[in-house]
Amino acid sequence: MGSQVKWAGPRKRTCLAIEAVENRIVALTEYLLVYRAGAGSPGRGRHQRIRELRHDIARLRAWGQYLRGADHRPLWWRLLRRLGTWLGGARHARPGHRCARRAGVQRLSAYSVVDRAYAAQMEDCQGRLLTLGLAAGPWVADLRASRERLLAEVELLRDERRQLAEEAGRVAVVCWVLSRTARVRGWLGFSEGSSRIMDP
Amino acid sequence: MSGESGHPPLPAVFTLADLKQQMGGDEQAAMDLAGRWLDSGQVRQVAPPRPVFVRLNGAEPPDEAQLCLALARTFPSAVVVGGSALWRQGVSHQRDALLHCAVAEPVDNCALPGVRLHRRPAGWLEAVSRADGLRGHVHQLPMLSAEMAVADAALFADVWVPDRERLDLDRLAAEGVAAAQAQLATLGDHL
Repeated sequence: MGSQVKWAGPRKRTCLAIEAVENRIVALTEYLLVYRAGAGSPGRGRHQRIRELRHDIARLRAWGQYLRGADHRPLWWRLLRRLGTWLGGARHARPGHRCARRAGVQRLSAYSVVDRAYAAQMEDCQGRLLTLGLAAGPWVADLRASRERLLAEVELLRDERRQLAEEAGRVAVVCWVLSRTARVRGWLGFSEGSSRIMDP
Repeated sequence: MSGESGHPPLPAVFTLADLKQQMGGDEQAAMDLAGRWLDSGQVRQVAPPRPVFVRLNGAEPPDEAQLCLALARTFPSAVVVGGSALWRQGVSHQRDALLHCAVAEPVDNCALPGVRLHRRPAGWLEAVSRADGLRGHVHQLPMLSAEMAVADAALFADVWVPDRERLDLDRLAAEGVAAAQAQLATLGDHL
């Protein structure tokens, strides 16, 4: 499943994207917790899945950090954006593409991981729309505003996915740089502190 | 039930993403079709508004495999608890009428017939894991060990458990129950 956190109201496009990423982190963290608790396929496959989930969560956190920086555009953000354009600007989106890694582990591209977060958020909104569609009775008129808000959010997320596909290379660079920075900060004992997501 | 003629039928449990894929990526068509199926009662959202659906065959409740799959796809943290776990491990001679599951996340609504969901606090699954409290699966859903099921039922007192005389106490390790209770007690403030 996509997002697990309650929807809280209309936001601007960046906020919606951040929420999509954070909700996806919550969902993947739950899967990680279940796998670590011993559920899922046993043996090597389980460990591989755990590694994949951790890697995806780290990349989503990195992308979330980048999105949060977009409001104030600090120096690191501008440098990273330029680096992303320079190194990854020409790379096109390949949805669902998996990168073969050593030891036989296959991972989704950073673009696919983020795109799935947006897609899951979109589907959550559409699930709400379907639920609203079943409502009957005197409160239907009151639900019209909610319906229009949800439709607007679906449209915003669709735009966001379109834009994401155009900058797939940048997504890869940003996720690579920021996830490794976070790892180094972890080794040095600095907590991230910016995300509301807790590691299990 | 197929999304579009010529395509293979959808599985009994499917998501909106599955339906979109079957409709060749046409989101509006997928939404319209899902809306029609929901209106006619052919399918039901597992836990509205989450976009996971289960196909219904008239008044017949879905079979247990479908229920478990629907729960697993909707709630990643769903675990079989209480008397449902005890009966499936042969510790209880009394069968559950409903499948009792715990989820460590807010649940507003679960429309699945034959299932009862119980909310557990954050950290619950971790505490269960530390005590090695998961034992096997019911279809795709992980299940509490008998000892952990007893400790969990005693602590939260919200799940169905069989009568004491219907339990096979020889198959329950008292020290295992005590260890499970000690782990769950670490949840402390979350309770």
